[in-house]
Amino acid sequence: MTRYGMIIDLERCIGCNACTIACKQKHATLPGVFWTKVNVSEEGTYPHAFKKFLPTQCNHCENPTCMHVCPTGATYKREDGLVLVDQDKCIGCRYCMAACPYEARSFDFGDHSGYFPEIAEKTAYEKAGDADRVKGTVTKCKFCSDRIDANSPLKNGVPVTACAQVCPTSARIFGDLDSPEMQKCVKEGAYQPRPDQRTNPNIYYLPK
Amino acid sequence: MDATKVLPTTTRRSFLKGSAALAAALAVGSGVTIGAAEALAETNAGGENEEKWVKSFCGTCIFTNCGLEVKVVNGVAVEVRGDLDHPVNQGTMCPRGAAQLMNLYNPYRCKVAVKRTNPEKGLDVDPQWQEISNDEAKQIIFDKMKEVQEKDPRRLMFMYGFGDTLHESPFTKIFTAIFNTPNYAMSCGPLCEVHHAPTMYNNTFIDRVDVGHCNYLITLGRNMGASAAFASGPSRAMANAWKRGMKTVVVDPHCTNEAAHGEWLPMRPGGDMAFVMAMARILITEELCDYEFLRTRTNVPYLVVEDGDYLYDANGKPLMLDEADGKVKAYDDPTLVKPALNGPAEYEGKSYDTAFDRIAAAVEVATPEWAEEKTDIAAADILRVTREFAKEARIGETITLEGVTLPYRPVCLATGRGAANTMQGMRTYLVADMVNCLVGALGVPGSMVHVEWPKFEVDNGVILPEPIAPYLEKQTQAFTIPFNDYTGKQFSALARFPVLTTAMGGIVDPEKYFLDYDIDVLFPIGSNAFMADSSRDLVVKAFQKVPFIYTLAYSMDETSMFCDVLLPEPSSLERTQCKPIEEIMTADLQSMRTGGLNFKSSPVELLYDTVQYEDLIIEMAYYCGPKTSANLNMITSGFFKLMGTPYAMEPTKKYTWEDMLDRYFRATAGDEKGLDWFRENGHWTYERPVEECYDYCIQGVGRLPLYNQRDMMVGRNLKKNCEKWNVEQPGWEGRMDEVYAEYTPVPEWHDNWLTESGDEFDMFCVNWKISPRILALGGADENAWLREVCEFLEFDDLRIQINPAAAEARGLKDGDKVIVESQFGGTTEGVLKVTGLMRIDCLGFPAQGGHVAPDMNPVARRGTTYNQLLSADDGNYFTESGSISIASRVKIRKADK
Repeated sequence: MTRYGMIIDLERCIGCNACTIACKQKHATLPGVFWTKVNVSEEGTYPHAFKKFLPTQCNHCENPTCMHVCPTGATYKREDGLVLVDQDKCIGCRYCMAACPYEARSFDFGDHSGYFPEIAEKTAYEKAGDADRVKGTVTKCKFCSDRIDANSPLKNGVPVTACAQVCPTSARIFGDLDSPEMQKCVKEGAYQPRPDQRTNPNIYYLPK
Repeated sequence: MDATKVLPTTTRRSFLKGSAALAAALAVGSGVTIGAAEALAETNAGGENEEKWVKSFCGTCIFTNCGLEVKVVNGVAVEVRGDLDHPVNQGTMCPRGAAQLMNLYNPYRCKVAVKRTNPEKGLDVDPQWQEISNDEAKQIIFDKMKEVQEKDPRRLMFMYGFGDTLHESPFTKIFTAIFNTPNYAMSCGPLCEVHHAPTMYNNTFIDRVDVGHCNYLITLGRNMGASAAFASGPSRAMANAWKRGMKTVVVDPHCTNEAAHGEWLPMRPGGDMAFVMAMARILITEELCDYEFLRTRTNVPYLVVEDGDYLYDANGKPLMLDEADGKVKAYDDPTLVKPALNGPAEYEGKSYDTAFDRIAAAVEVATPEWAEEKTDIAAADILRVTREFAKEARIGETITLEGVTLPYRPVCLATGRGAANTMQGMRTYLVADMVNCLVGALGVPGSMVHVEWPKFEVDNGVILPEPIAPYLEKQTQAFTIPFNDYTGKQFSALARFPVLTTAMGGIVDPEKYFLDYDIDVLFPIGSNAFMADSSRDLVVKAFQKVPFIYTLAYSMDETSMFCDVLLPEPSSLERTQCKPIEEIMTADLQSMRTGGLNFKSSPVELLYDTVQYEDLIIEMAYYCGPKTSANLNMITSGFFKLMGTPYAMEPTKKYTWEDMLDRYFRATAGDEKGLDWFRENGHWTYERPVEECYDYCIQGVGRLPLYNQRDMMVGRNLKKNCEKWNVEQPGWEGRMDEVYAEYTPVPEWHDNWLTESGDEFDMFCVNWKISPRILALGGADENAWLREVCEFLEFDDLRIQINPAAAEARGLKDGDKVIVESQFGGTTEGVLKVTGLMRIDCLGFPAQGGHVAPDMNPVARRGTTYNQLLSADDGNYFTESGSISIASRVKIRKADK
């Protein structure tokens, strides 16, 4: 069985946020909601200061604490590794948000006025996006499950997420974590975020 | 100069209230123009999901190359992704490309045609728009255009910028020729001084770095792709190079995204010339040069006379000393074996230096310690970096690519706008390319190479963009008082673009600029000089004076506010458009080899009743009479290289834009690949041979102009013309010697207003592009997603950056509201961000914000207005090029609470 995951090569990341916006537009997320984003920090001191880029999102953990704390089973893990939220089962208790060590989840408070609340008529794009919103539920990265289910589009023979496809430097490699290509990266020193949490994330980072 | 003076006093709410017609025009929820979008939404409600993917290409950077696919569900575009089959972007996009749906579905777009009813014009004046039909708007415009054609076509001025159509439409480049006017202006010209050196060294409009092979890259104020995140190849090539181990040294007042992957040398603004001169000196004095390259591929062995010109023989041919037999010979003498790099050479009883001697003498002053004083970069670092650069140049090595063996010089000193647009910037770029040439790194794998197919014209054995005699003759012909055109190129003799100060100043006061006629009609398109340039007051006065201004508007921006008639324009994704594929700036060999054509047409029914630029020009040219009709057909035919093919256009027939595209496609891609083929496939590409990618293979016997005799002759010709007509360049009255001094054949350092100190302006302001906003292309300033990323995620957000030590010394802290005032009187306000990524004597302004037009998306108004800290005033812009300095000296103070 395929075990989907991602390797993020920090040597390639230029912090451009193309992934952030590709995700936003594909999933029509609300203002202030970022299922993925690039965190930028300043390291060192002048004149030896530099920027450090760290893309983050749901890690689709092997041992997801968010799933364990969910009282209704709304958060579930698929056999192919994806951790998803069943919006119909979510009761909005937000235990999962508190439990996630990566702060990767957002809550839909019901304000669906979108990017132009001052304008009465919504744009056709935002109207279309409203179809998937459920007030009072938790949302997060889906690893573009629709693309995986449709097995399209394919990059190097594997369905690819919007963030991995868009990356202009190919810093994100999406695929089967058990494949030789992904395992090679892991052996080269790719690490999981917050191993102390024992969540066993399916996203790895190749250090600079 | 003072931005605060021109801020509108009305609020958005009161402004709209006061103009019912405008509210209708904007149709913000009014339903007047939603039309198509609403109908589509209804279809969606029916539950039938009709889904399709439509091929397109991007419109959000300077030279858009990336193929896209747009997902349309029930008539609504819901997703954009890179085209995985497109060899250029390979499925990727930059953040701007990814955000295009917000450009399409921007509720603040101009949606209907309007005319102003308030004759008064200003940034704080309500135009009192009245909605009219597209037909009525066109009739008004066409009548005015016809009238000016009949009266004096010179009274028409065209003005363009990076806004939308610049590099997409043929009619932007050929507009003036179609409508018989010499007058055009460019809002994107003054801060884009990056074309002269590439023209001289690579015979190309823009150069690019072959980072696919480069191992040691020094950037001087140049964005290599990472900071702008170009998805068409530059970002990928840079990431691959870093993985391969390329060292990057960023010489810049600001620690860029590229510096995060390399070394940062924080340089004082304006010090660039000193840095490159010091590099040249080290390479020459430590004998680290590629002497074979210098002898055979450059003009430095030419002998020079005392006044700087070449030494010529009786036939007018430049002379060289042959080391093989000690004789002085013409440059093309077949017996010439080994041109000497050093003199003296004896010729007809006199002794002469070589050009190389002159260059060596000119940089003698530039010791690393001298350069440290100017740049604030440690002498030891300048020495170290230069030695590493020379070592990594691998002088003598070759590389074989696809069977083609070439010199291998995997190093590049890459100059960009940040350096070229500071004082002495044009010459800095030339000297930087000279440094590249000193180690043989120009036009070969790993170095700086051409972009467009270069002509490589050779004059006296030297590669020049144009042979010098006809060039000077042309300059002289244009220099007749009164001037025939508003370009200002008569005085700014090396200007690539019209001098904006002259174009705008000429409108306000023609006599001052030696002009004897007025501008009656102005057509700005994709152009916003109120934001993109400094000296806003001058632009306001010019726009107030022109009797009739019209545009195609996507945005209700500052330019739109000054128009008499507006027609609504399609968004980038909605246009029927094509563009040749050509990677720029940064590339690997695969990108360089890829050529072709991109095509797009709207993936959805046009949201509004918009008029595309090309359709307007065609209709207008045919309306104005047989001359403009013939111009349109014949010039377009020439531009698309249709002449002599079965697709050539006839002067008297009428064509549509789609007819023209179909002919262009068939003539370029083959008869079977017409418009229908492109509608289905989106793009067509081909692979160039390696030989076409490197100048070294195609420049033939021409030598590179390290010794800049050409520009020196241009300066002398300018002096001759000025003295003949007894005129002085406006702004330089009484100090024309400073003007002529810029036309020097060898590197020279000139003190200037940026390097002065001792007054209260104790800091510099600096500015750079960020990935969500470069040049406001593709409607970036109003794009809700891009602005959100700018404000909440980018390190380079809307705040003004200051070094921790500088903040402490001034009692300032993170979050303080401050006022920055420049030496030219311009001021801007902002909020401080304290960061060690900024030089200690600089204030950093990422990108540009602070629109003042009240009807734009309010997010566009946030942030600081940078350009008003600069000056394009006469006497302050760069005399030789018409460009302006991107940095000024400034002072900062805390704003009153």
